[in-house]
Amino acid sequence: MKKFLLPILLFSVLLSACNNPKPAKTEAIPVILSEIKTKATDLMGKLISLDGMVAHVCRESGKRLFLGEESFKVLASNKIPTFKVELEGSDITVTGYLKEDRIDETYLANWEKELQDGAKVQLKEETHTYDAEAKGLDESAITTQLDQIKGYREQIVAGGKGFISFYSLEVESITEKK
Amino acid sequence: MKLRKLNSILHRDLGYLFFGMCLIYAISGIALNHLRDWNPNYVIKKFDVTLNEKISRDEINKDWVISLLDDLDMKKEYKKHYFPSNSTLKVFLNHGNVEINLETGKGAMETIRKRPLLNQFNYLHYNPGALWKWFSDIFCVALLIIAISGLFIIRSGKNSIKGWKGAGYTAIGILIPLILFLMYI
Repeated sequence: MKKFLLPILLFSVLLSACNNPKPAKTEAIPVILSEIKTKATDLMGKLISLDGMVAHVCRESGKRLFLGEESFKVLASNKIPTFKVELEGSDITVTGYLKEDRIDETYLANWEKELQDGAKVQLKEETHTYDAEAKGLDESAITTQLDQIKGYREQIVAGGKGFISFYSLEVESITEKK
Repeated sequence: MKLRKLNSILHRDLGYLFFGMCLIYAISGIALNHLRDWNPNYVIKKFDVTLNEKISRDEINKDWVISLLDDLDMKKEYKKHYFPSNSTLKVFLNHGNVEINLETGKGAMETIRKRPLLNQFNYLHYNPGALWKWFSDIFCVALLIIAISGLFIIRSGKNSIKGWKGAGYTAIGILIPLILFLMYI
């Protein structure tokens, strides 16, 4: 027994560390995927659940997946650090917190300046969409990013709000439907 | 027990105990360091697909999709299909997908296989749950102990921490990351 004192001690520390009381569960608000953009303002900061088919999982990092025909972006988090590619085509229920990234002229000007200064800017998570992945756009290429900036400027002007919003969900849990 | 003996025992036993963890983090560390150069989790192969005859969205059903997969030797791989747009058919396979432009009749099939061991190592590296988080924290503390105790394993001579080799190598090991840090900021 004494010979295995060290592993036993470590295992005990591990078990006691994981025995912390779990925080009370918050009930997730079910939201229909197609309605999420219109209801987004009211849902900020609340735990929501979405049902949909996994249309795509990021191949390289597994850090994001896209849900349903809307290609709604779901981001990995501390709770679920990566998504498995095998989820593609599966119907899932995902819960998480809605996140809004607002892109305005200041954001675009900073981005443009980074590129003009010769910085190698990787794809911007805020604006990265399934469309770009599906089209095989190299979002780290300067020309692609300058085109994106131009397009977002046009969208900001057309929207009249002075910004455009990109919504995504920071995942808390995923349940695969059988 | 003398301090030096305890030092050696800790170094030896923690080294044995966390040998597996060292392998997991070292191998997945190299794999994930080169994330931009390759996909460390999956082997992805792409194949061109061309339909023999053009077909409209309305004519496509599950049987037709399965017959298409049969032609591609992928019949048993069918999972689901849908239309991301009026002119695009996407078929999900158990290990990949097929996407076809119905207007041109051309598309691509992607097959995806997990890289044995690397996929599992990388999964663990990304911290999949609370138990692993605590265990890897313990591993990090053990690594500190292994590193510090390692300095005092040899008592004297050129190979000890007081000798030119021990002290020199340790200094170089600290200086390299420091110089790289200064180069990057």
